[in-house]
Parts: sequence; structure tokens; C-alpha cells
Amino acid sequence: MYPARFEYHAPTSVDEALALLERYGDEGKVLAGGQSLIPLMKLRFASPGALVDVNRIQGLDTLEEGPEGLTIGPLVRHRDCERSQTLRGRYGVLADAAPQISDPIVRNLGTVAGSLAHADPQGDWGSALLAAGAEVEATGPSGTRTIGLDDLFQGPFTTSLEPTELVTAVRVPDPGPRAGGTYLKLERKVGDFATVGVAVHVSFANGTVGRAGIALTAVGPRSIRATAAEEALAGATLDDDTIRHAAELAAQAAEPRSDHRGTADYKRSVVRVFTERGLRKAAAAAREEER
Amino acid sequence: MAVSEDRVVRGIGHSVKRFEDGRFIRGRGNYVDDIVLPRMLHLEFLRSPLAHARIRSIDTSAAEAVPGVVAVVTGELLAQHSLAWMPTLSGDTQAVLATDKVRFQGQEVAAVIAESAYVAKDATELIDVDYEPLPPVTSPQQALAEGAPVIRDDKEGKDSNHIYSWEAGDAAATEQAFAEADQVVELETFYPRCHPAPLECCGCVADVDPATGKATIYMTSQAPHAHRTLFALVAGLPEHKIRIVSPDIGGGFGNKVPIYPGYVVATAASLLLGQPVKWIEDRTGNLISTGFARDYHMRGELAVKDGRMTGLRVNMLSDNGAFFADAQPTRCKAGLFHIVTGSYDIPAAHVQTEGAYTNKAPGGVAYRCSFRVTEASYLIERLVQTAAYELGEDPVEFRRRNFVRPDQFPYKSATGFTYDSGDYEGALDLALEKLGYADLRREQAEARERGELIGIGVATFTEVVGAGHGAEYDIAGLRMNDGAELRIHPTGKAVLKLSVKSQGQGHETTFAQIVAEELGLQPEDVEVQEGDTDHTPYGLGTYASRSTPVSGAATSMVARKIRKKAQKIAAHLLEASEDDLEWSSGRFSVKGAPEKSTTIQDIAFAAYTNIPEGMEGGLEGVHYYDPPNMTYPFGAYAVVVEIDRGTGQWKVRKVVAVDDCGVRINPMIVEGQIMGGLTEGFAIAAMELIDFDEDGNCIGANLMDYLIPTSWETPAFDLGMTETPSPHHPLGAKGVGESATVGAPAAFVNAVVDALAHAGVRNLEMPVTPDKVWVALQEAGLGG
Amino acid sequence: MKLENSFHVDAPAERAWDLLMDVPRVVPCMPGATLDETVDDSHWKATMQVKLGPIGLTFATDVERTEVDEAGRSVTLVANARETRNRGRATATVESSLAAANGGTRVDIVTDLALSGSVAQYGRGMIEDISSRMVTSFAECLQAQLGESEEDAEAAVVAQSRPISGLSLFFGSLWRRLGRLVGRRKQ
Repeated sequence: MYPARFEYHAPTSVDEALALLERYGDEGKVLAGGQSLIPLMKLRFASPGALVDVNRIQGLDTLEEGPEGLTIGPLVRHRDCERSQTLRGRYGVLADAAPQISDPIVRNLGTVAGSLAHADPQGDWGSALLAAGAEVEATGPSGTRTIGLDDLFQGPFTTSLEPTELVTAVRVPDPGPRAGGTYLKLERKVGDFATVGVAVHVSFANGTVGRAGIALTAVGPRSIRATAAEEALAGATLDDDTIRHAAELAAQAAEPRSDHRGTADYKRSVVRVFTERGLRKAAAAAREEER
Repeated sequence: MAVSEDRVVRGIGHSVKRFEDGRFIRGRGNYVDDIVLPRMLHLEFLRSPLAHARIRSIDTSAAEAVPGVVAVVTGELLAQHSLAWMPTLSGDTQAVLATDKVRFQGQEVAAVIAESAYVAKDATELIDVDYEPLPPVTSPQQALAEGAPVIRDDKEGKDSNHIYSWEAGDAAATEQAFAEADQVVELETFYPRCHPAPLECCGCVADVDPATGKATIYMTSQAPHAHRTLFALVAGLPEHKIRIVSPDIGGGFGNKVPIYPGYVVATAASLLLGQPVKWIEDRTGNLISTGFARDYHMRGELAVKDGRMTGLRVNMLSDNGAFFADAQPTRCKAGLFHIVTGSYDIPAAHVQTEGAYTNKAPGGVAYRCSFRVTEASYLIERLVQTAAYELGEDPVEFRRRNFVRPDQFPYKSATGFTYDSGDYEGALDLALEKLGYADLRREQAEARERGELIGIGVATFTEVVGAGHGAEYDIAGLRMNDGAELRIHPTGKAVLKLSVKSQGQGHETTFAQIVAEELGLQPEDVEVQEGDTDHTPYGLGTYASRSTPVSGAATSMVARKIRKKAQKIAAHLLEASEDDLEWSSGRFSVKGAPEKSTTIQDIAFAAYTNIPEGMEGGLEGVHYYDPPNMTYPFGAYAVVVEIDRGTGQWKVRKVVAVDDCGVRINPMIVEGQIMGGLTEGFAIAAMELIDFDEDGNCIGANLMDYLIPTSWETPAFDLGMTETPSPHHPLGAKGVGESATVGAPAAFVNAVVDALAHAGVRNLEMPVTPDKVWVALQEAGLGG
Repeated sequence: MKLENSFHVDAPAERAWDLLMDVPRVVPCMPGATLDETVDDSHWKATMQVKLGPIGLTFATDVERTEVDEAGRSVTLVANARETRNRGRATATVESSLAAANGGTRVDIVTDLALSGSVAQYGRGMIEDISSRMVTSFAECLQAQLGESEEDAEAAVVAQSRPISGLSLFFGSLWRRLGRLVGRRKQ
């Protein structure tokens, strides 16, 4: 691998990292897991003037559950999520997404926060966390702010983060006592980006759906929230008709393009099939939780 | 004497663990990129972004100004040394660096030689090429259409993109068979372009010593001797001043047979600069510019009368890319594609082939296949399956009835091959038994009732490997023969030097076992050396499953020569007549007096210390083997798949592979070869594809888009074997390295098609991706 | 890749024609594009920057007006773009034509886009999506130029020509601004 010339910094505190980001501005780039950035640098599509490697900063790798929900530190790796007992059950959408991300080598290094900041429309965390209603905490020179994922993703590889900001946490709200979800991914082989991905995250209250989150991977310029499907599910009983209707609405929300992975029709159809399967699984998982 | 009975020589039939693996698994292999020489420079190419364009000008000044850049080489500069073009293995010419036009995306346009690889890469970004885009030709149909742009306008008088027409078989007899047929079944299919994609890409370190004039080229070569001769012919260097060293090779699969511009430019640069030059290709360079495989558009028609195949007519159109650089025997323009009658006794056949230039990378190497046998096998195995459906018959029964029978060998095929040996029904029976075929057919019918789709696919292939006979098969005029040189040291240890070159096949073990078998040495007492042209005998190298059929035979023969001399020495030592000695497991003993015996080790020592008067000292020999015929390995593969009606994904439930490659020297290595081949066959059927968009951009230029299966996707394989020795090979062995890649794709595709066949589906094109299956499901009314 | 965009403006055809003929005004409508030089009355040089997160590409672009049919109200521009670090090339033939319709003008823009080199190889299909969105954005910027408000017209160009995250602005603020524009017309 022969990337273009760059400077490399390995700060040991967030403040130091922020100072470096401010110094380099648009020329600086945060290096966390590097599983997207380094291939881009290798291909020389990205040639940042400086890398700010945050891996030496202590205390950024916590994955914990509090009364408000989950907090995922910026150095939490995909592998940590894959192995986390906390994510199983009510955060099934995250637990199921984690082991489907790329391959074990990537999962050992790649981070959840880095994946969100990279905003690849084919990235799995984008839609899994959209469905879960997550937000990111961004820290910059003027302090800390919270950005919902709907506002974070602006377009392919484009977010509302400033170049001087560092994602310091990803927060996932507590879905309530009874919740289930899953992530379904159509890939051509292990390690491939999704041809289509569907994230389903449903919380239940009194036998009906409370909040439903459905989000789609790789069928548009960014991770897509299937809002109409979510609304159709809210307050409904999760029976066959509701599931089919919601799946249809999710398919309509997709904006796929035909490419060498398949036609737009095909991808849309897979969104429908996966949403159906996902909702059935989420319902079953929530029933399991109940027991 | 008890001692000899205890001593088991681990020769043929022993699964000896591979000697070479010790260094590979410890990271102590020595690959081309591991070679570092003093004052070594680095070469990086600028490649064409366009598939077809005229070069108006190239400005290298900015690149030359980069500190650390030593030279920027263009086609124009090479032309001054008559090196801008080089001959291909198929008698065409290929641009080393583009001069007039670029003819495919990724073609080498300029080379930067610099003090580090980083600097070289930086500098390539600063070369400014002014291109005039020309319309790209991206299919052979388009290439041969009226008014198509002429790609090879460099060739005097060339006014079309047509390369060759070639045929085999008997047109009139085939015509008659079709006229008399009850039924004619047709299949049009495409074996898409794929790539061998070895783990190690191509590369070299060229070191031309300005003091001695000797060019030492460390390179990723499957055929170092042939390459040396071609270098001598291309560069005009005296052949004894060229030494090719092929060190450890990280996979070849045919990709490392051709000569690439990188080798030539690095050598020319080293010659001009007086310093060693290293060229190491990156993954994209490998996928977009080096030898691809397949890209055959095929149409097969089968005449059937009374349930028997009576005629086969095949038309094939080959996409050869911008330069006709197929690596294949000179007289076979379409390789050995005419093996297309496969395992079936088809009395009349006619094969017509055409080749065309397109704006794609040249190559046409056999990706783990003996010169286009894979395409042929795929066509006949798919066609036979289609015919069975059309006849309303079980594909297995249809095959069985039409096999060449064991009593027909040696069998002369309608297209001119003489099959050496085979028992096709035996292999098929074993495969079906292991699979539980009858039960599966019942399960398939029941599953259909429930709306579930299961498919069972079979392929019963025959391939032809182990070229030549030298009189019939040559590459660039060089007879396809190979040498083996064996030297027994005084203490009974041996060195075997071979003309072939392992790329991972385990030669250091297999060939040592042949010597062990013939001379009674233990295989670990035999060191196998390959790859250095200064120190090994001449031969054409390793590809097309030819190492065991040719060099394996040469090894046997040279060991037998040595045994003859050993017998004379033994007679001297035992004070007996040569004729009174018998040979058994590493020792000669006097007939009827077994206590009077001497071991091969004692004989070796005597060869240097105590020889009869008048005998030449030493114990060594050399043999060049010219095979009297090819070998014809075969097998029966069966695959069971399940289809997801919602997504079109198909999952492999079971794979049974029964192979017959004659006598197996190291059964473990043979099974490893078969598993690797099955994996690659599965890969081609399921995912591997080098595709191009309408602008001629290569889609499949990296391992994100060129999909190589991992252990996750690859199914488990249940292997079986039968053994039908080759009657003409000294050990009865046949080549096997490629059998599974040849046989497997049709088995997988047949399985997926079989799942949908009841709804009228007859064909799915490779790679059989979920989206294609989904479309077929929709069209067949099976969508879910 | 052929991309077709059509829109209607209330402006008369003359005004639209003047815009189409005014290449220095047309060029900045391409996201990330800036005009560098007017070579002569039918040749221009421009720079186009595409920045998508960490990905940065700069295209040196030669623009040529190859055909003008004043009577038929159609004009063709050919843009030949070379990524300045040899990561690829793009050739766009943009044929714009005008037709009177419903008291205003219908503008049809047909773009034939050929991409080559590594940008086309590594796109994972996304590059087509991005280019078609860029062309759509280009058409929408032209539409804004012909809108009622000078302010909107200017804002659209500023949004497009910013070298950084041209597309992010397209997906964000410009998109919303154009939404407002369309919304206002509907009232």
C-alpha cells in the first residue's frame, strides 16, 4: 500500500485530539479503526494531510447500559458489539448487525462511531442505529452537541459533523421492557458491502407496537429511515396484514439503483421480503423477552 | 532378513505431509517481493484510464522533476530500443508500453523508476497524457459487427477485429447426424471472463550486472525455462546470459504463464540504468491487466436418436481482448476446446471457433484448466442436462446410456483425441451412492409440494491434461517436454532438479515420493529443486495439470536409469551377476539368497568409492520425457442446493466429488488439489466475474468487486475416488490439479437450474447471482 | 450513461437562451465547479472539485461549445475532465434545448456522461448515483437562475461552487432552498 504523504499524530487525550483537528481543519482526519479510511488512502481517493489517531486515548471504549439506554464509546469495536451480552435481546437489531459487518479482521478494528462518521450508504451501522433511534455526541472547539442520525447523514460519505469535531459517544435510547429487532443483510459474500440491508427495531406496550424503527441499507444515497412503515406500525398489532403492509411501505421508501448487484426492482423486492422477515423475528424475540 | 521388512518407504500412495509447508507456515517463504538487492530501484506503472484512445502526447516532465525519480519510461523510449512491442504466446504482438493507442483500460502507458515505491507512485500521478477517446469495443459480437472500430490498426493491413477461425471434427458427418436425429436440443451460453487472481500478484526483480552482462531476473514464473528462451528472442540477449529464478510462488493458476510488460520494462530499465529494478504489481494491476480466463460465447446443439447422442455441433466466439495472448499450444487456436464431446460416445461432432479482438485486457490463460477444457466441459455438461429435461428423462440416466464404455478405450473421439483410459459409470455410481440420489429426488418432489425448492446437479466430466506429445503440442515452437535431473550423493541423499515450478502444488513432496518409490530412499532424503534456470534442466513448466504427467514421468524414468547403474554397482559389491539380482524396497539382493543384499545407500557410497573397473563414477542422470499421449482424468460431481424464493439466494447443502486421476502419488495432496479446485469451481459458478461497463471500465478491479469466496461461503466437500491408471504413464498417474475447477461449475449451475427446471427454466448464466435467480423465479412464477 | 432532466420556468425563452449561451454563468451551476479561464468564445477552462467526506477529487476540465442552433434553440457543451492526479476521466456532452410551453419555457437537458479510470472502477455503483445527482443538481441550479428571485439564483450558485462538500450542500441546504422555491411557486 502506497498512500500519498501524510502527517501522523497520536494524541493521548480528547483535548489534544481536538486541538489537532482544529489545527488541520479540513486537511485533518480522525483515524479510529481505519477500516474504511485506510483503503481509501491506499487507493488514493483520500489523501488527508494529517491523521489524528485516537486509538491511544484512554476510556473511549466503554459499552454500557444505563437508565437512559446504551452508551457506545467512540473506540468500541464491531467485535465488542458482537460479543456483548447487553445487546442481545432488546437491542437485537444491533446484536444481529454486528456479526454481519464485513469479516472478523475488519470487526476486530473497525468502530461503531467511525462507521457512522464515515456515512457510507452501504454501511450496516447506519441503518441499524437509525432504526434504534440513536444519536451521536459530537465534541468540538465550542463544546458538545447531540446530533440525531436523521440529521447526521447528509449524503454519501457526507455528515453534518464539522471537520473539527470528534464523535465522543453514540447513544441509543432504552426501548422499554419489551423490545426486539434484527438486521437482515443480503451480501454476495462475507466481507462484502450490503446489496440490501434492513434493520428492524420494535418495542411493544400492552401487546401492540409502541415505537417501530425500520431503516434500510444500500438502497439510496444514505441510510434510509422507512418513516411511513414505522408510522403504520406504531400502535398496531403485529399481525400478518400489518406486517405485509409495513413491508410494502418500506419497499416504497427505498430508492435503489440498478447496478451489477441487481436491478432496482430486485433490491426493492428484497427490502419487502426482509422487512417482513425482520418484523416476524422482532415479534418473536419480544415474545421471548416476555417469557 | 528382518530389517528390510520393517522398512516402509513412503513412496507412492502415502499421504506424506508437505515438506514445503514448514517454511510457509512459519512465514519463511521467499517470494519475489522478499528479494531486496543493493541499489535496487522501484518501478510503478501509469495505466490507461480509457479502454480505447489515441495518445496525442505524453508529458513526463513533472514526474521526472520529483526528487527520487530516476527515469520515466514511455513507449516512445522503448521504441528506440525496438522494445515497444513484444510477441505473445499465440504469435501475435502486444504493446509493452502504449505508443500509438491504448487498447484496454489498465494498459501500461508509462513507467516511473524511482528510489522508493512511494516516490514512484507519487510521480505516476504527475504524468500528463493527452488522449483522444475512441469508441470502445466491449464484446466480440460488437467487434465483428459491420463498421466496428478497428482495434489493431497497428497491424499492417488489418481491417477488422477478427483474429482466427478454427475448426475440428467432421462437418458432413455431423450434418448427417442432425438430419437423421429424432430430436435436436440446443443451448446457448456464456462462460464469462474471470481471473485466476493468485494471492501473490505478479512481479520481478531484474538485475542486469553491468560488469558481466548477465541478466538475473527473479520473477513470478510458472515456466522459467520457456520464459528464458522468450526473453532471449525478445530482447536479443544471449540465452546463457539470462538467468530466470522463480522463487516461492504464491499461487499461479495460469496467471503466471504469460510474459507481462512489467518483466520487460524492469529488465530494460535495469539494463539501461545498471541497477536492479523491482516491479511488484498491485491487486488492481493484476486484475485489470494480466491474463484473464474464459470469455467464451458458446452455442451447442445435440442430435439425439433413440435416446443416444448421435451428433454434436458447437459454435464458439471467443473474446480475446486487445492482443491475442492466449497461452496455448501453437496449432490449437481455441486451446483444447474440442474435447467438448466430454465423457460421451458421440459418433459425429463438429466444432467451429472464432476469435475477436476487443478493448479488454489480453490473456486467455487457462485459469486452473488445461487450455480451454473448462469451457468445453461446461458446455457439454450443461447441454446434456438440458437435453435430459427436453427428453423428459433423468439427467443421470441419459448420461449413463451415452458414456464411453470401459471396453472402448483407447477411445478415439470424433474431434480427434485418443482417450487413454476411463470408467465413467463407476465414478458416477459411487457419487450417486454417496449422495443418496434416489432419496434426494423423492425429497425434492415432496419439497416442491410444500413450495420449497431443492435442486440436484450432476456433472460427469472428462478432461485432457499433460501436454504434449511434443510433435503435436508446442508453445511458441518449443516442444512440450520436460526434464528431470537426479543426483544421488555418496551418503544416499538425493537432489532432484526439475524443469517445472510449483506455485503451491507441493512438488517438493510429491516428486520426492516418486524418487522414493523408484529408488527406495525415504522422501525426506530427496531435495527437490526448481525454478532456477541456471541449475535445472529444460522444460515448459507447470500449468495445464502437466507436472505429474510430464515431469513426474521424467522423474520416474531418470530414477530407473539410476537404478540400472545401481544394479551394476550392486553386482560388483555382491560379487554376483547383474541378472541374478532382484530389486525390492531400496535394496538389491541375490535371487534365492536374500541375506546377500546391499542397500541403495551402500550403492550410492560405492558409486563414489568403490566402482568396478572401467565404470564412470557418480550416480546421477537426466531424462527428458516426451509423453506419448495426454492423460484423461475424469470424475462425477453432484451438488444439492436449496433456493430462497424471496431473495434468490442459493445455499449448497451437499457436494460429492468422485475423481479418478489414475494412480495417486500423495493422496493428501491430491485431495487438497481437488478441494481447492472445487472451491474455485464454486467461485466461478457463484460469484467470480470480470465485467465491463459500456465505456470499457473494468468492473472487478479489486477484491471488493472481484469476489473470491472465503471459508464462510465455501461448502464442505465429500470426496470419493476410483482409480483407473493411465496405460502410458510410467506410474499410471494422470494430472489432477485442475479437474475440480473443470468439472465443478456445471455441477453447481445444473443444481440451481434443476431446482427451477420443473417450471421450464433451462439456463442461468454464470455467475449465478441471487438477482439472476430472483428474475428466473419471477419469470417462472415461483417468486416468494 | 444518459441522464435526462427537464424543467419548466416562467421566464421567456430569450432569457433562458441567454443563460445557456453564457457559459461563465452555466459552469458554476455544476456542484463544485469554478470557471478558471475563458480561452475564446467557444472554449473555457474550469476546475471541478468533488469532495465526499474523506474522498477528494479534482478535475481539470476543458469546456467546449460544440454546437449552437439558435433557430432551434439548442446548444451543446462538451466537458472533458481529467482528474488532476490521474484517478480518472469524465466526458460529458450536455445538450440543452428550449421550447415555449404554457406561457413559459420548457428546458430539456440531456447529458451523456462517460466515466473512466479508477473513479469508475471503484464506484461500487455509487459513482453513477452521485453523478446523476450532480447533473440533477446542475439542472436545478439552472432553473434557479431563471427563477423570480435574484437572491435565490445567487444562493444556488454559491452553494454549488463551494469547493468543499458541494454535494453535502446539495443534499442539505440547496435541496431545502429549492424546496422552498418550488413551494412558493405552488402558492
